[in-house]
Amino acid sequence: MKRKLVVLLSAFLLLMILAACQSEEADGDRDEVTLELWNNLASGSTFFPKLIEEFEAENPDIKIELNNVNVESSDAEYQAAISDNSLPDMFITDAFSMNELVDLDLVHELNSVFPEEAQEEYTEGVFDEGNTRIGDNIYLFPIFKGGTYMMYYNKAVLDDLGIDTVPETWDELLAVGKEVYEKSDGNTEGLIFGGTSGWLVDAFVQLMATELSPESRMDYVNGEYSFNNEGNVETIEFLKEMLDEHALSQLTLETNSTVAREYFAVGRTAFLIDGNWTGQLLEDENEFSDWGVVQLPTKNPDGKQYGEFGVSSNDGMFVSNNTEHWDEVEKFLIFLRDNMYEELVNVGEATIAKEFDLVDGEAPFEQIEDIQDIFSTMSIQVPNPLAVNPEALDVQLEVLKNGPDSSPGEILMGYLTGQVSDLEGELEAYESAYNKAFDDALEAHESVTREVFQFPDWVPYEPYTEEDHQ
Amino acid sequence: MKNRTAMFMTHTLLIVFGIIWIYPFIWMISSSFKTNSTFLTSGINPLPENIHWDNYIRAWEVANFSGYFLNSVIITLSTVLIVITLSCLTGYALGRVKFPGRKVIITVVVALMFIPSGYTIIPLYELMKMLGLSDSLLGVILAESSGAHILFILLFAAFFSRVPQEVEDSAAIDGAGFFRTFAKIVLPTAKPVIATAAIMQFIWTWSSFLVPLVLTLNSPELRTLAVGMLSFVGRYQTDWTGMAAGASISLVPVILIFIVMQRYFIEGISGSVK
Amino acid sequence: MAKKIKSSNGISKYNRNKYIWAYIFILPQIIVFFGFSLYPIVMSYVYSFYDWSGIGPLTNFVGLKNYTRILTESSFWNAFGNTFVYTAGFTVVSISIALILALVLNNPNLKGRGIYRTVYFLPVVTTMAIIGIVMQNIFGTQGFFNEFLKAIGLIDQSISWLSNPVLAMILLIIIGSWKEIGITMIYWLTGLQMIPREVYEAAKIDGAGSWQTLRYITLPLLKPIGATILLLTVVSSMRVFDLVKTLTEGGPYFATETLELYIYRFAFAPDGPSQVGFASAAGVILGLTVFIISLILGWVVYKVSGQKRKPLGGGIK
Repeated sequence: MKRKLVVLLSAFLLLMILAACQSEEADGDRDEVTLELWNNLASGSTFFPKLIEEFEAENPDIKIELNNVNVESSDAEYQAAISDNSLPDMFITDAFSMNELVDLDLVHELNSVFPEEAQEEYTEGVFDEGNTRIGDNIYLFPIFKGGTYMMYYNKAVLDDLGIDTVPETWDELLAVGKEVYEKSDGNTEGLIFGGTSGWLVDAFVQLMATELSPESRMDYVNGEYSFNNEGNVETIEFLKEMLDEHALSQLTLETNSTVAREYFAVGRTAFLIDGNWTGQLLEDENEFSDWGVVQLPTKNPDGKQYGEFGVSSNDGMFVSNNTEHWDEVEKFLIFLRDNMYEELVNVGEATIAKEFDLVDGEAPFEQIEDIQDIFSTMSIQVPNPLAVNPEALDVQLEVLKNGPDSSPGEILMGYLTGQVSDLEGELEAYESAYNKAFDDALEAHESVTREVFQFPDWVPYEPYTEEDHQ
Repeated sequence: MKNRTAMFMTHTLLIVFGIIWIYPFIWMISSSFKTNSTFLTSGINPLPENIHWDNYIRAWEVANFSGYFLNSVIITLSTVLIVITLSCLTGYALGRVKFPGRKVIITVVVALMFIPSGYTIIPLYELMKMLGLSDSLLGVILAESSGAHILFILLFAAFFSRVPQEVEDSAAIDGAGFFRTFAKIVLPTAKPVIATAAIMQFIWTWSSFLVPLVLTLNSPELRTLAVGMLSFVGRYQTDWTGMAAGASISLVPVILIFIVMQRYFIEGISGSVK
Repeated sequence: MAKKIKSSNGISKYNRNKYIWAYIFILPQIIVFFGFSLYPIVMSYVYSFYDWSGIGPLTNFVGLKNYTRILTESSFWNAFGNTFVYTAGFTVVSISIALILALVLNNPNLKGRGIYRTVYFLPVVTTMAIIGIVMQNIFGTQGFFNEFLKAIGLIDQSISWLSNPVLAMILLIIIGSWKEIGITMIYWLTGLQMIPREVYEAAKIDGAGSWQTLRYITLPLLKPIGATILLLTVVSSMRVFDLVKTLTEGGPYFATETLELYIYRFAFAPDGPSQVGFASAAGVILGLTVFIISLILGWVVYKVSGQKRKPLGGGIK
C-alpha cells in the first residue's frame, strides 16, 4: 500500500510541476510582443498564416498567435473569455453583435486605422452606422461585406445528360429537374440544398420571396414585419412541387450544407443552392472545378430579387479593449488593411469589403467574376432605422429575442416533410407573433417610435443611400 | 444432443447480431481508410478500394492528435485516480463507521444524485480562473473530478459494509489502527469495485467535451482528443475521413481498458450488492 | 459509579478515534464537492431569475418572468413531450433487450462469453458525437441501410428515416438503446449473479423446466435490481442530448427536439442573442421534473424491493 501511496503522491507532484511549467511558459520573452488573434472564418486558416508570416518578417519584434476557433463551440468560448476579461487582442466572432460588445465596453475603436481616404477605397455603405460604426467611432474592421445566395450547376452532369439549358425561372428549373431525374433513371436528381442548415434555408427563401413580395420580412413603408405574403407562400409551394415531382432531391430533407455540397460535387444532383463562398469550397475542399453559377431562379422571366446589404459581426474583426499593445495591434491592422484583400481574392473570396476592382489579387478560378456580379446585383442597401435613431437596435434585438421560435425556413422544411399542412395559417401565426413582439418592444422603449422604422419613400430594388436618410 | 443444437443456435444468433451490433464500428474504421470523395459514394460496400493511411497521418500530425492523446491520458488517469481515492475513502467511512451525522450525510449524498444542475459551465470557468487554474491541465483534472460521485460512493459503502466485523476486530487485536486496517486488510479485497469505478470514470472522462474545451480556451495545446475532434468540423466543410481516423484512434485505449478489466467489472457491481 | 464512568469513557475513546478517522476520510470529498461543484450549481439557479445574455454583469433581475414565459411556450411543451416519448421508448427497448442478452450471456456453459460481452459493450465506450455522424450516414436516404434493404428485396423505394417525424423518433430510440444496452446488460448480469446457485438446483430437483425456472424463480428474484435499473435508465434518458444533437438536430421540424436540446438552443443560440437566463430556467424545470420522477420511481423501488434489501448500495444500514 505504501508503494501505491508513493506512486499516487509522485503522480500529483508531477502534475503540479507540469502545471507550473505551463504557466511559466506563457510569460514569454520580454522584448517580443505577442498578439493573439482568434479566427472563425473557414478560409482564414489559409490566408491568415500567410499574412502573419509576411508581417512578422517586416516586424521581427511582433509575433501574432493565430487560434482558429470552431464555430460549433465558439459561443461558449467567447462567453467564458468575456466573463473573465481575457478576450484575445483581436477576434472574429458571430456570437455577439457589435452593439453588445460596444455596450459592454469590450472593444477598442479603430478610427486611426481608417482615415477618410482609406474609407473611400471601400464599397459604399461599409462604414455606415450599424455596419462598422456606432456614432462617431468605427469598431469593426470590415473584411467581407456580407454575402448572398445563388444556384450552382454541375456542368459535367448536364453535359452527360445532354441538357444545355441552365434554368433561370421556376418553370425551367422544375422541367430540367424532372428531365435529369428521368434521363438518369433516378440516379441523379435536380436540385439539392442543405435543408438542415437553418440559416441557409431562411436566407434563400427570403431572397426568393422578395420577387413577388419585396416587403417580405420588413415592410419598410409601413414599418412592420411581413411573413404571410405571396412571396413566401409561392416560394414554399414551388419547392414542395419540386420535391413531389422528384426535381428536388429527398436528400435535401436530411442533409446540411456541407453534405449537400458534397453530393453536388460528386454528381448526385445537377443544382445546388448555397452561399457565395461555396465556389471556393467546391474548388478547395471537393476538388471540383466543372461548375457554373447563376442567380436564384425567379418565378417570372424578368423577376427581380434583392438581399439586404449589411456588414455583420462575422464579416469583420474586433480589437479587445483590454489589449496591452494597442500600438502593435494598430500596426498589424494597417498592414492587413493594405494587404489582406489581395490575399482574400487569391483564395477565392468574392465579397470583400474593399472595392473589388481596386484589389490586385488573382482568383484561383474564373467563376469568381460571376459570383461577384450576382452579389453586386443582389445586395442592395435598404432603409436603416439605426441611422434615424441608434436605439432602434435595442428594439430589434428584443424582437429577435422574444419573437417566435420557428422561422419561414423551418416552416418550409415542415411543409416539405408534411408536418405543416396549413401553410398560410402557420405563416400568419408566425407573422402576428413577430409583430406582437415588435409592438411590445416599441412600448418598452419610449425613445423609439414606429416612425423610426417607416420609410414611405422607399422604392423596392433601389438602393436606399445615406442621402435618402437625410 | 438437443442441448448441443440449442447451443449452436445461440452462438449463431449471437454472432449474427454481434456483427450487426458492431457494424457501425467496422464502417467507421473502413471510412478512416477512404478518401473524402469516395466516402459518400461507396454505398453498401464497407471495404475501401485502396488503403489510405493519410487520414491517420493527418489526424496524428496536422490535427495534433499526438499531443491531444497525451493530454487525454494525463487528464483521464489523474481524474480516475482522484475520483476513486475520494469515493473509496468516503465509502469506507460511510459503510463502516456509525459516526454522528452519518445519516445526514447519506441523505444529502442521495439527494445530490438528482440535484439538477443547469448552466454551470461559465461559473465553473470563473471559479477556475479565480483559483488561477484555467488553462492548465490541473484545472481540467480538478473540474473533471469535482462533483459528488454518488454511484461510486454508494458502491464502495455497500461493499465495505459487507466486510465481516471479525476482520476488523482481528486486525485491531493485532494492533492495527483504523488507517492500517483500511489500507492493509480491507482495501485489497475491494479490487473489483475499484475496477468498476475505474472503467466507468475512465469512459466518462475520456469522452468529456465541454469542460476541457472551455478550460483550455487560451491554450489549444492542452486540449483533449474529444475536443480535438472538433478541428475536423469547419463552418462550411467537414473532414469526414480524418474524423473517422481520429475517432478510431481515440477508441483504442477505452476498448483495451475494458477488455483488461472486464472480468472485475461485473464482479465489482455484484460484489457490493450481494 | 466511578467504574462505570471509566468504562464508558474507554468505549467512547475508541469510538471517538474511529469517528475522527471517518471525518478525515470524508473530508477530501466534501472539500472537492463544496470547492468545485456547489458554486456552479447555485449560480445556474441564480441565472434563471435574470434576463441575461451570458456576458456582462447580472443587472436585469426579472423574477419569475423566465418561468412564466417558458410555461406558455408551445415549443417548450413540444420538447417536453418529445422527451417523455423518448424516455418511454428507450426505457422499454433498452431494459428488455439488455435483460435477454444478460440471460443468454449468463449461461456458464456458453463458450466465449467474455468476447460476446465485450462486443455488446462496445457501443457504450464510444463518443456519442461520432455515433450520431456514423448513423446519419448509415440511415440516410441513400445510406447503407436502405441499400441493404433494397439489395435483399424488402423495399424498392428508399425510406427517409430521418425526415419522417415518426421514423426519426423511432430511430433515435433504437440507436440510443443500442448505445446504452451494454451497460444495462452489465447491471442485469450483476443481478443474475446475485441469485444463489442453490435456488436453481432446488428448482431442478423439483422438476422445473427452464421456462418455469425463468418465470417463477429468476424473474421474481431480479425484481429489486430491476427497479433500480429502471430508475437509472429513466433518469439518464431524460437528459438525452449528444445523440439528438448530432443525429437529427431536433428535426424534422422540431419532431425530435428534447429538453436538453431546447436549453442548448437558447444558451448557445446559433443566430440571434443568447438567452442564458431563459435557458437556465428551462434547465431548472427539467431538473425538477427529473427530480419528481425519480422520487416517484424511488418510492416504487422501495416498495418492490421491500424494506429488507435496498437495491444498489442499499447495503448501508
